[in-house]
Amino acid sequence: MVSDYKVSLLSNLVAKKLVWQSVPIFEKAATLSESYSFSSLKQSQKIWGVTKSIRDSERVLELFVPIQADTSTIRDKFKKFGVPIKFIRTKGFESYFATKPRQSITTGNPARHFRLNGWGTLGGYVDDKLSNLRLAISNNHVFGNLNRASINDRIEYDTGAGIIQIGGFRRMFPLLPPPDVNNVDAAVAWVKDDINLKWIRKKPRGSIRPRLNMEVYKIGATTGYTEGFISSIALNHRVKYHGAGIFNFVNSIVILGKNGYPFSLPGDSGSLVFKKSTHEAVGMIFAGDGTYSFANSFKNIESLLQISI
Amino acid sequence: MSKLELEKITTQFSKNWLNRKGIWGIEPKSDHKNQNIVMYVNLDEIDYDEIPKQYKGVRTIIKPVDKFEAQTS
Repeated sequence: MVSDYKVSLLSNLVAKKLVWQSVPIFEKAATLSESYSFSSLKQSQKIWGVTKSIRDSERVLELFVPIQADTSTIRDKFKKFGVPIKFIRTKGFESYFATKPRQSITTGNPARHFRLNGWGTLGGYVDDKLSNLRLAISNNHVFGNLNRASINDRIEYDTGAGIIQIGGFRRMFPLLPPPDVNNVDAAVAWVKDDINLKWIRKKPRGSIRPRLNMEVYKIGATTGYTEGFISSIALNHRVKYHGAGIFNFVNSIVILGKNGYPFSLPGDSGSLVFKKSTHEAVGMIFAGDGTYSFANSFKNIESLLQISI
Repeated sequence: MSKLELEKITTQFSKNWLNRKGIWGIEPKSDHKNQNIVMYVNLDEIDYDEIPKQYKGVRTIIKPVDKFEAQTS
């Protein structure tokens, strides 16, 4: 039977020599085997901890070793002591310190200028050709408060559990009242550095011009994921904006949902439209009537707002 | 439709659909204006056309997800 004293001394010796790697070794442990060398143990066999234990009423030394450690080599090193060894494999010990989790925002969820009562959709993230800011994109009437926003105005996002500020208004392409006509309803906001930007599905692979009958999808805050077809790429029409009157648009994309279901509904404004087969951005939803959905060409938006996806 | 009725309909719908490949979650969602069934779907595992767009008059909303998994590290 190995004495408790001997196991204690060996435990201390191992702690000094192998766990803490300090010298000189513990005074009493030195009496066991001062000359014994553990230096041949490789880094992968580094011992994370040592303790004495009792197993089947016998005193044993428990060594916490790396999962990949070759225990036979280590066991050989301890043979001379005549103390039973028990190995406990571990991934390693680490402090339970945790940093505050970063807030994440995801495309396809509700977002708006802080002065709006309703919500649009956070369409996506784009690179700014004029700065190094991280930009989020939606409509002028969502982020830009329909021409009324000032730079750095608060942009809000609905997490589902509450409303947070994600950043500030950056710039928009102004909407012109009649008799002028408009090409796009688009604006961008900068996003705070401590917010993670997530795409709800796939990160887009650039942008592409719309084509008739192109199969497309979008993910909006109201109707979620829907698929449809482009039925027109050159619609000239009027759109009513609540509290701001009617505006004229040219060259809008018209999209019909599959099987008669709406492609988009109120709250989906700002959703990016993607070509289904390639995940390239085709347009951005800004209006509709429950059957027809209207989008601006994303190529035009990129050009006019000086951004790229 | 009451909130309880929507929950009942969603439960019936779940029995048929929650065991399908690609369907990761189903929940009722109602606010003061709309009552819907939200489906969490991996669109790489099931085709959009196969997913019902409504059930007993209640519109389904498809939310794309990759998968739900235990949050072990």
